[in-house]
Amino acid sequence: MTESLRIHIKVNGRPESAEIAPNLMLVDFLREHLGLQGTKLACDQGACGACTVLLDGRPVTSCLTFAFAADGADLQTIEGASRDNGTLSQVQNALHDCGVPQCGFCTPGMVMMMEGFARQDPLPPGQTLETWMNANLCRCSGYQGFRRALDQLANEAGNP
Amino acid sequence: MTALPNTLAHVGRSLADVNGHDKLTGAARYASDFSLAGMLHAKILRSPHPHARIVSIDASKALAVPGVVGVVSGEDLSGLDHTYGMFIRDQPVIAVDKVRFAGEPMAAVAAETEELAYRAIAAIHVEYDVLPAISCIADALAGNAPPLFDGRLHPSSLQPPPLCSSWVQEPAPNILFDFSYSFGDIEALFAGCAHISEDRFTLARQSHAALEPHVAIAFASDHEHVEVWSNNQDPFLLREDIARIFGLSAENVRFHAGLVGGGFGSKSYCKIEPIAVLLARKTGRPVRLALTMAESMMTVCDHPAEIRLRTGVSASGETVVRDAVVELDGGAYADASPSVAMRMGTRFNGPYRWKGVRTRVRVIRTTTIPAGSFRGFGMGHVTWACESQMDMIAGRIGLHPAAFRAQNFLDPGSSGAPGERVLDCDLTEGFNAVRNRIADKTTSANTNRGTGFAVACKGGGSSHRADARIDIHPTGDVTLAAGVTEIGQNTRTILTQVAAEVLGMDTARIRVVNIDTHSTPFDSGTHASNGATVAGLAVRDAATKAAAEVLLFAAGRLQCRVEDLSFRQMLIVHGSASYSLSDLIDPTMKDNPASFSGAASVQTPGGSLFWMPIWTVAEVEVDDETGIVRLTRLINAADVGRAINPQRCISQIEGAAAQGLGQALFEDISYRNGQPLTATPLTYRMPRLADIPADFETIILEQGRGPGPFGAKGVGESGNLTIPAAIANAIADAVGARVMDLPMTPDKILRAIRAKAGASPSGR
Repeated sequence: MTESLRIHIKVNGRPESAEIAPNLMLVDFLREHLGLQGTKLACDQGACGACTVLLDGRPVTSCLTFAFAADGADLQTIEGASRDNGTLSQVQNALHDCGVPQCGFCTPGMVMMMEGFARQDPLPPGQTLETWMNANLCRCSGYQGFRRALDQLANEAGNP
Repeated sequence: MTALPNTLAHVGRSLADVNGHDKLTGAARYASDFSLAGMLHAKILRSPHPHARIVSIDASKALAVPGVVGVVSGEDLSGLDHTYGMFIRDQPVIAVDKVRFAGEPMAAVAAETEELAYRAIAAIHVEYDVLPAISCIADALAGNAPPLFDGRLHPSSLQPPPLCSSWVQEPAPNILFDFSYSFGDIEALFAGCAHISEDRFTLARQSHAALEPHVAIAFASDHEHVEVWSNNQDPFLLREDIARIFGLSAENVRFHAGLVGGGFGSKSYCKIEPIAVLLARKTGRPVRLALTMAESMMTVCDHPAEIRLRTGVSASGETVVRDAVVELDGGAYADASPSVAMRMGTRFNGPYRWKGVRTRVRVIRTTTIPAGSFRGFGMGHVTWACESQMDMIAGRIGLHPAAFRAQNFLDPGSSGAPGERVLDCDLTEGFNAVRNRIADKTTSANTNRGTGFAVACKGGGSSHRADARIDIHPTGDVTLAAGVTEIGQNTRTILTQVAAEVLGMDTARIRVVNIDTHSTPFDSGTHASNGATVAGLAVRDAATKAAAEVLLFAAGRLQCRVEDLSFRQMLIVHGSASYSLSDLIDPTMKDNPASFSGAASVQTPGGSLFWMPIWTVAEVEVDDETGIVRLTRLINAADVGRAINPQRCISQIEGAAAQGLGQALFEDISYRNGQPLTATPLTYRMPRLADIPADFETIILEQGRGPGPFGAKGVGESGNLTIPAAIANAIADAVGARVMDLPMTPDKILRAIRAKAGASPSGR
């Protein structure tokens, strides 16, 4: 692959520009070119969701997304999930309160899936965060911590 | 939770994971995030054939790919002690002369980028002389099966067999290990039984499928030294393996381990590390060998098995005698199979009283993925067969399955077999905890709804050595070093709580360091649910010693007796005065310590150090037209002795239960024509959130008899053991059909329902 192309992406609000190979995957662009290693490469087949990032607010598996497909996009990764002052976001706080991280390898993808859902406006009809989270695998837990966190988020939404 | 009274400050509290913030923000670093300057990237060429002689390997075209720095194959192993395996060393680092499973490493390439390494392995030409595949136990035992090995015994480090047992290593070309165990006069006992049940059960090939694939980064600064960063669960065992294979001094082999993205047994013992070291020594550059998850699934799995049980009970329903004959499909190589066979072979008594138990466990070689250690170490196999059969026997003799179990439970303080550790839990209390929470079928309006019980009791903590060191710094900060790896069981959090309790200090000021075999205290491996218990004891003792060092030093400075001092909240209290550590550091003196250190080592004996009981009730709905099972309710209770961290105990049991649910209903790497059909994350079905019943409860019992710090015991391997049998029993309760082969997929359930409809009812 000798040809290359230039892409411009806003990553966590910061403009990035890079010369990349056309076959470069988004997860490798993030981890290797930008050094954003919070996004995890696990199954490499779009089956587990550990590499989930938000492309223009929509969750995608970055292992199956070409980096060039993100040209011109606004990308959010786990490194941008916390509040600007560095404290945990509402989603992260709920996961923390509910004792979620075990090995932690699925956690960044889970956080981004939940953040992605929280940013849906309007909410996709008939869809729930619980159904969205079926896209993400966790092998350590029985998903109960995630369920408790979903309940906590729903309570917080109901009682702002 | 049935809790012990708790006057402790840190133990018994659900402290959040000490690395939780980093894991939630993406700041946590794993071995797969590690890199070194000038690092090469490696990929492995894997055999497409399950069984073949290697005629030739031509890597010249691969070496000609620009950016390719080194290629290794079986030829590069000459002069090395090139095989490994936990007890029987039969697995070559890379295939030599022959391949024995589809996916076996044939060669490996190190190149400037991973992409180039992929291109290079595609350019390696291998000529194979293809041999017949042996895909299952029956094929391996058939008279015309081709031998996988030439019949010579492999080097081994097998220990003498445990009490009442014997073993034979490699008795035949396709039999790796033959283990026998017996107590009681078996045939005489059967002759006296009123009812004898004979049943056959099978298990499929379950994959660990940890989310972080195996990774190893190796660097050989010269021919005598090797440094490796890996996500193996056993850095200290790996150090010995690498030293032996490459003829190095163990002191010159250095392993690093940090956070590990899940293990479940898949990262135990030697795996891919020697290939990374081989390439690093050949190229003189750091080499990163990172498998894909699909490759990890081809590296190790759990054992498919066939279990035949003959069980005799008295007229009144007393469990009397059991004879178990097991064939384990060990795959192509030994890995941990002999150890699994031995553990399993001594545990067919389960949680009940018997006058005699006889077991024979044979590990059969097939041309499939090597099977190794998996959460539960064979106890899941035992429980699937025995707890299914308990319900079948109860049905045949007209007892309620719960009552049949309850009348035969071992009593606390009694021993289930000669030489076995006495029971350190109350089986009846635990069983009642789940039994009282669920109604019998008769109260349910839905005729296709049923409930099922299962109980198991796994031993843990045996033959383990864990060392720990605590350094109290004059700033009041504490460093905790222990050789147990953090693989998602939140051991670092547990050990932090133990140290904080002993030292009477804030957990936030304790830092658990990554493992470096040059400086971290020894640990014989993260296995057998031993972290909180055995490493926990070492940390407790190390913290006690470090605090004593503080007081000894303070007594010297304050010119008083040690007995007059106490140490709480990082303050030395002397009468009404109190001093911080820095108060006592006198800059004019030359004997100020850099830190106050305490080191401790705990060695546990062979046999179980503690019992991990698990009591389960499952409730299902069965669609008798489609065979689809819906798990509607799942309740587990476990005795943890004392919960150092209740939330972490619950997480372990819940997570294990989800793995058991997958094993029960869909997980299976199946084979056809010698090729694995489902050894990829996309094709291997694992539990997702929607598979978990909405009504899913975990009850933590603190029965207070654990040998660990503050009465704790391990909990990591119990939650999965009972789930398949509890679900099978619930299906039988719901529709009267019995499935005896895992996973219980809809086709098997339909077949069982139809078989029942076609046959006269004979028990449940």
